[in-house]
Amino acid sequence: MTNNSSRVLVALNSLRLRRRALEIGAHLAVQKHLPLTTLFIENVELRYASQLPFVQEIDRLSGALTTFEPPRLERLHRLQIRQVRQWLADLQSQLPSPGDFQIVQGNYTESVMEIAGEGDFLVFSTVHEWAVIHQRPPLWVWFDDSPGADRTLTLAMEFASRENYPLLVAGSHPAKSTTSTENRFILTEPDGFIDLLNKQGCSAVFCPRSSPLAKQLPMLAPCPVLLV
Amino acid sequence: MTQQPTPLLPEKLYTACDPGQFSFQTTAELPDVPLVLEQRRALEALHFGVEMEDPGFNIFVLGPTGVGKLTAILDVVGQQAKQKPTPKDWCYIHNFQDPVKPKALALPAGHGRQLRQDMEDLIEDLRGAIPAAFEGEEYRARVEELEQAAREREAKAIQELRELARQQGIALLETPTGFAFAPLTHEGQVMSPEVFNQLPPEVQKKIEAQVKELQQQLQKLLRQFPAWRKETREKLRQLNREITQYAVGHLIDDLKARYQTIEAVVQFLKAVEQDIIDHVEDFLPQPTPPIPLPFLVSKAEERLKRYRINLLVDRSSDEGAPVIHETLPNHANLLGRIDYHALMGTLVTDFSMIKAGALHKANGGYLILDALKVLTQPHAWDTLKRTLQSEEIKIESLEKTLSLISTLPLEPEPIPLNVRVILTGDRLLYYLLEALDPEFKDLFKIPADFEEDLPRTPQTHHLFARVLATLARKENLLPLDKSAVMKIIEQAAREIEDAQKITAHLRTLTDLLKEADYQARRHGRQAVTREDIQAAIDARIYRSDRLRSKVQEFIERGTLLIDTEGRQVGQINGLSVISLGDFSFGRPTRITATTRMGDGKIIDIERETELGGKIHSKGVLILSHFMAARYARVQPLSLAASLVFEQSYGPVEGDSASLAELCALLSSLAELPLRQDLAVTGSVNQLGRVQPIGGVNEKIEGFFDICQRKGLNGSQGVVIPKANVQHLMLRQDVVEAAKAGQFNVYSVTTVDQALELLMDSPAGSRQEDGAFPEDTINGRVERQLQKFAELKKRFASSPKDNAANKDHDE
Repeated sequence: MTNNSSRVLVALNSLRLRRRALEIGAHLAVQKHLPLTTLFIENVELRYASQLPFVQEIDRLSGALTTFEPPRLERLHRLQIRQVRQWLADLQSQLPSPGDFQIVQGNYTESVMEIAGEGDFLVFSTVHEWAVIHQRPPLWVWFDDSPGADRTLTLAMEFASRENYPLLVAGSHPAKSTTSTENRFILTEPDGFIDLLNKQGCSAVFCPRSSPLAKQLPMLAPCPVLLV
Repeated sequence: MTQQPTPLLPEKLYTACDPGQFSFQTTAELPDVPLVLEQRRALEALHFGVEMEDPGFNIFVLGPTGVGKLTAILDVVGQQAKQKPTPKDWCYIHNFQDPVKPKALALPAGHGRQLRQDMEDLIEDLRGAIPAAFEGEEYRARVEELEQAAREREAKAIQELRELARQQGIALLETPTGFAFAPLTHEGQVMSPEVFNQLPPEVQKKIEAQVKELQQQLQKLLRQFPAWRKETREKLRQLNREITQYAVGHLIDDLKARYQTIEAVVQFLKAVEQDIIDHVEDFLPQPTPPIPLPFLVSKAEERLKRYRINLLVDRSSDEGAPVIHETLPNHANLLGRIDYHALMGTLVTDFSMIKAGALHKANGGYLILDALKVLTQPHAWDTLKRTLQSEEIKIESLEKTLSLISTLPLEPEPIPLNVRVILTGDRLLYYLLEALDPEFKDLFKIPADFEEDLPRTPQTHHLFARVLATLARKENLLPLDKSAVMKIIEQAAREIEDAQKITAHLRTLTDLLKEADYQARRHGRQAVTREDIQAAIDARIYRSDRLRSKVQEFIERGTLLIDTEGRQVGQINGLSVISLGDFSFGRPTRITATTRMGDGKIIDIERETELGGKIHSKGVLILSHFMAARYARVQPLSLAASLVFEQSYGPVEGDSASLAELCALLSSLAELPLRQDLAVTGSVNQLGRVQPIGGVNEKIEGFFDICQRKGLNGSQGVVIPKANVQHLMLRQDVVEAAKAGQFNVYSVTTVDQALELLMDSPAGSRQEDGAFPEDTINGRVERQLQKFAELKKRFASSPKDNAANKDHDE
C-alpha cells in the first residue's frame, strides 16, 4: 500500500441512510485535503425481492404488510438520493474540491471494496445505530497486527485532535507504534470490540482495511466505520 | 290673671362648676385613667361579650363617634386577649391529589415558620441531590445495561427468525422501512425473478407458502416489540425510583422525625416524597430549547414550588389571642384573596398565591370592624355574615361568587373559624340593621350602648379632670389649671345643651385642648387657663361665624326687618337656629299673622309654598286645633288666618316657633299689640301647654346679639319654655347683661303666661257662664270670633257675596 491516498470514499447504504458517515467523511476530506466521493449503494437483493410478486414488506414499527414492488422501491431510492444530494450541497462549502456522487447497485460492502482504490479512505455508514447516551462518544480505533494499523491509528489521532473527540484504542495486540496510546488502549478480541462499541458508544470506528474485522465492522458497528 | 313670669335669676342662666370640688392646682398632679368616661352599661356589655364563648354573641358597639368606643374596645378586648392562649399557625400546602384544592394545615403557634424554613432547606438540598444521583457513572451504566439488554432481545429475536428462514432457504432482508423475505439460491444469494420463474410451479408455490408463513411469524414478533419496550421503560422507571428513593429518602426521613407529633405534616412529607419519586424525570437535565425563553421556568423548579409552605398566619411573635382592627373591610380584606400572575398572556395561580384576610388573622381572637364601612363595601356584609354562620373561612373571589368568571379558580380548603367580631356604628345603623336584616340579631346579640353624656356630679367632675390630664399628657400638651378644667366641663355641658350633663364626646374636647394649648403657649404660660380655653372657643367661633355676622349686619341695617322695641299687632319675633357644620347660631325671624272671617282654615304660607317641613306643619295644625278647642266649642270657627315667616326664603322645619305663631294669631284676633322687645321660642300642644325646644342657648344669644347691636334698653329679653331652663348655659356676656338688668330671660309653662307677658294684659279664664271676661285677651279673641261667625252667617244667606268671598278666599 502506498501513502498516496487519492480520495475519501463514503458509502451510504440504501437500507438505512445516515448523514453521520457523510459528515465524518467530509471532515476527513478537509483534514487530508482530499476529494470526497459519495457512493449510494442500492441493495440488489432488495431489487430482486421487489420483483417477486408474493414478497411483501413488513413495517418495522407497526408490523403491517404492504406491497413491495419495484416502483415503490424506485420511489424510495429517488427520495433517498435527493436527500443525499441535499446533504452534499450543505457540506459543499467546507470541502477543498467539488465532490463526486455515484449510484451503485450491489451488495453494500462488496460493492465498495470493488470500487475503492488502495489509497482511499473508506467510510461506511451503520445500519444498527442506536441512541447515544454520551453527548460526544469517543472515536475508536481497532489496532491489530495488520498492515496499515499504524497509519490507521495516526489518522485517527489526527482526526480526533482536530475534531475534538476523545480517542480510545482497542485491539488484540497492544499498540507498538511510537505514537503514545497510554491509558487509551483496551485489550480485547473482535467480538468483545463490537460489544464495547455498543456499550460505551462510539462516534466512529477507524479500522485498517487489511484487518479481518474490516468486513464485519460496517454491518455490526453502531456508528460509521472508516477503513484506512 | 296668671302669675306673670319674672325674669330668671342670672344663676339660672349658667351653671358654673364649684371650685371647691377640685383639690389640685394643675392636671399634672392627676394620674392617668383610661380614656373612656363613665360608660358602665356599655363596658359591662363589652366584658360580657368578649368573655362569652358561644359563637353567636358578637358585639355591636353603638353610639356617636368620638365618645371613645374604639378606645374602650381595645382596652377591654386587649386585657381579655392576653389571658387567652395563642391560636394556631395556619398554612396552605399543595394538594397532590387535586391541585385545584390546596389543603389547609394547622400547626402549633410558631411552628409554621419553622416548617416553612425546613421545606425551603429541603428544596435546596433536593436541587443538588437529585441531579447528582443521576449523573453518576453507576446510574449511566445501569441505564445502558437495561437498554442494551432490550436491544439485544429484539436483535436476537430477529436473528433467530433470520436463521430459521435461512434454514428454509429464505433470506430476511432489511428494507428502508421494515423487512422482507425473499428466496435464496443454493449459493446463498437472493433469487432473481428470472431464476425463480424457472423453478417448477410446485416449488414456487412452496416458496410462496414459506414466505407467507415467515411473514406472519415476523409480524407476530414485531407486535411483541412494543410490549418489550414498555417493559424496558418500566424497568427504567423503577430504576429511577430506586435512585431517587436513595437520594432523597434520608433527607425527608429527618424531617418526618422532627415533625412526628404532627400527623398532617408527616402525611405531607410522605406525599412530597412520593411525588418526587413519581416525577423524577422532571429533575433530570433537560435539553436546551432551540430558542431559550428566559421567563419559562424549568420543570424541576415548577415541581419544587409545590413542596413549599404558604404560611398564611404566623403566630410566632404573638402572645395571647389576636386583636385585629381592619380599617378597610372589603370582601378581599376580610376573607383573603388569591393572587394571579401573568405568564405568556394567561393568568396563572397556585396555592402559594393565597393571601390571608382579616378573619384569618383574627381567628382565635377578636376582629374589630366599622359597621358602616362593612355595609358600604360591595358584598362585604353578606360575606361576613355567611362566614360567621358557617364558622369557617372559605376563600372565594368576588368574581367567582358573582359568576363573572368562567376560568377554573383555586378552591382552598376552608379553615375553621372561631372569632369574636365587634362592630362599631351609630345608633341609627344598629336599629336599621335590627329592623331590616333578620340575620343580624342572630349574629350580633350584644349591643354595647355608649352614652353621649354623663350627669354633672362631683364624681364625674373628678373623673373628667383625670381624663383631661391623661389627654393632655397623651397629646403632649401643657397641663390645665383648675379654672381651665372647670371651663372645659362647663363647655362640655354647653356642647350637650344641658346644664346638668356633660358630653362624653372626647374628640371635640381634645381639639379644644389643642387649640387652648396653642393659646397658652402664645402667651408663654406653663399651664392652660380658663382664658385660654375661652380664647380657643372664641377663635373657633370667629372662624365659622361669617354668616352670622352678615345676618346681624342685615338686621342692624334694616335689610332684614326685626324690631327690638315697640309693639305691633299680629307681629312677633320668633327664633330659629341655623346650623353650618359644627357651628350653630340663633337668629330672630319676624312672624306675622293675619285673620279675617273664613271657614276655620289657618293657612301656613310656608307649607303652601312647600317651604315648610312636616314637623313645622304639624305644629301649625296643633295650634289651630288648640284654637278650635278653646274658642270654637259651641260655635263654628269662622276664621281664615295666615301665618308666615317674613323674609324667609328657605326651608323651615320644626315646631319650636308654634308658641310664637299662636301668640301672633291671637294678637291679630284680639287686636292687641305684641311686645317687639321680646322674642319667643317654644312649642305648644293642643291644650296650650308650652313644651321644650332645642337650641335654646343659641336662640337666646341670637336675639341678645341683635338687641346689643341696636342698643340694650333693659326691657328686652326672650321667652322660653320652663322645661328648657335646665338646659341654659348662656354666654358670659348674656349672663352679665342679665345681672346688670339689661336683658331678661323668662320661662313660661302655658300659652296664657306668654300672652300676658307679650301683651301686658290678663289672659283670662272661663267664667261660670263659659265665656271669657271681655277685657281679657281670651275674651277679646272669643268676641272677635263670634263676630266672624255672625258675619259669616249673614253672608251665607247672600249668594252673590258668597261667590265673591269664595273667590277672594281662593
